[in-house]
Amino acid sequence: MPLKKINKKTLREAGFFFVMIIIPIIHFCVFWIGVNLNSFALAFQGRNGATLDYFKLFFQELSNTGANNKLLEGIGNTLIIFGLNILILLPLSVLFSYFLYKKILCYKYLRIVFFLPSIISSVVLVTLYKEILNGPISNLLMQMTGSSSPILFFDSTKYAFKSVLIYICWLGLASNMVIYSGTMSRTPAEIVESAKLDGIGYFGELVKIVLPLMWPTLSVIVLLAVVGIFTADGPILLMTQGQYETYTLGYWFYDKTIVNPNLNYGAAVGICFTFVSIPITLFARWLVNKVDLDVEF
Amino acid sequence: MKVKEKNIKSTQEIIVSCIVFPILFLWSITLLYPYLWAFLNSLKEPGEFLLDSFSLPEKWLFSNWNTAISTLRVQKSNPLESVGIIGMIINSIWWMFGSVLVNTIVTLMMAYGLSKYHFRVGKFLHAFSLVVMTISVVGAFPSQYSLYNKIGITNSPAMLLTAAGCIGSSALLIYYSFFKNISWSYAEAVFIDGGGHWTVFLRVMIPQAVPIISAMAVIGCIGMWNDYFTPYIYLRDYPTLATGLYLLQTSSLTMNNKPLYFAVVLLSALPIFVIFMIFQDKIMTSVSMGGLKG
Repeated sequence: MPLKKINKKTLREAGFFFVMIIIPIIHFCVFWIGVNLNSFALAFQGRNGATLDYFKLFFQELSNTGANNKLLEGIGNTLIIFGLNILILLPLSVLFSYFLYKKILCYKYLRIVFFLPSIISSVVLVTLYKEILNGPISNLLMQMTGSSSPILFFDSTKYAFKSVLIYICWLGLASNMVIYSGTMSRTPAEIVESAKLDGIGYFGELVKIVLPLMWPTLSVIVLLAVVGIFTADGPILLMTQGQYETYTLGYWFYDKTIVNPNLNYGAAVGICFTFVSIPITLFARWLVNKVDLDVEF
Repeated sequence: MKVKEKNIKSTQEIIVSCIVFPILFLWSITLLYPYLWAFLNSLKEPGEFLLDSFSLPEKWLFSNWNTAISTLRVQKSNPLESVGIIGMIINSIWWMFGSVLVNTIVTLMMAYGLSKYHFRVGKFLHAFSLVVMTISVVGAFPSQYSLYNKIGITNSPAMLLTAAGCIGSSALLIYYSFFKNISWSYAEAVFIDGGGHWTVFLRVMIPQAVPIISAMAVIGCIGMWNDYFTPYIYLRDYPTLATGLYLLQTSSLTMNNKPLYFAVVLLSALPIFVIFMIFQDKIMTSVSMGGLKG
């Protein structure tokens, strides 16, 4: 009799648990596993059965260093954006967050303003950026240099990608500042006080106390950035539509899907990049785990 | 001696502040000024804007905003049909609330199931979700586009189904940790009173989670309101305001009348400004918490 009761209770629990998890599992099967299986199907699908032609085409395009190779251009630009994000913007963003954490003058105002780009649509931000650069800034530079022709910030090979990079810097610096300064604010006051008594300086506090304590959060952000190395992207669709040598990998996939559709080739290239990103992910995870600062708070 | 040390440190801080503060302040001005510039220019005549975009408007034409709302339209997939600004706002609203509602319900259910019911499959799903988070699938867009079209959910409200996923999402982890920290003794008390699992979930656990749900929902709403890409690709007959802005960029009407375009640009950002002003602390705290949960 008690056995029956237990079974009934467990069954009821199992039934409830099943209802709670079934929808996300179905969703995952259709929209994650399904999409990835479909990628494989598309990549190997030729007109007369299975084919490796799309993969061959990919390697041919990689080895062709001609001037108009959009794939190589996309890879190059994506790696530049990734490098900019991880090597320049991330350290600077942490440094500026430290000043907010140290309650620099007007820190509350600065915190709110730096957070604004995270909540405003990129269409709005890009529109304002383009209009200001093409209008007042261009006019100002014309007056200063005495030039009679406007500077084509988004319509020339010389400036288009640089304009994209400046946009990424302008907004990217602020992107994670709230997370960083929030994490820094958890630094126990007693540790800082005792370090101050030991004579630690302004930047000593950052390097010797704050950074080691925020490493768990920082390491996750770095890891996720490295994992997404090939998805590092700028607002190319909004800004230049890939013209003037501004292709990124993300835009290349968009091009192969919507502008010049070749879904099979796009899927094959996607599979290749996913496989390349696996060892990079594993290496980054190993590296992040190796930098064990042995701190907890 | 101690006083001297303190003075030296504060001098160091003052010197750093004198160098850093102007940089940060100027940068903050560059982030704010474009909105003011666009607002002032949205109240000008097109010709006046072309002549001098820095000056104040000669006449403050607030009617430009009305004109923008009543005249600007974007085409649907059938070139004979179009949607105005009000239609786009309605599309933004159902897309935003629908997606966030579906996603929140599904994520809460799964997080609660995984955190409170100790089945082996639950442990596996939790670990699996963490693994999925760190897998970067590159270039899934062509396949996704083809699959969505094959199963026939594009260009219809059925696209909301795509929001019903949470495996590998940070929201699942945040809700999971939240439910994990709620004592199970509440549930035991309900069971003694004759209540069931649904009573515990809906009447005990969810009410306690309202603050975190509302904070996450606000962030989700902002994300969906701003998303121009998904509606642009998959909801061609239901353009949202963000999509409309993108399509209007190249429309001849806005190319020749920038003040009207600026009015729509600012109109689309206005609800987010208002929401941000109301829920400022909640939003910033939960974003910072999301980072901490990592």
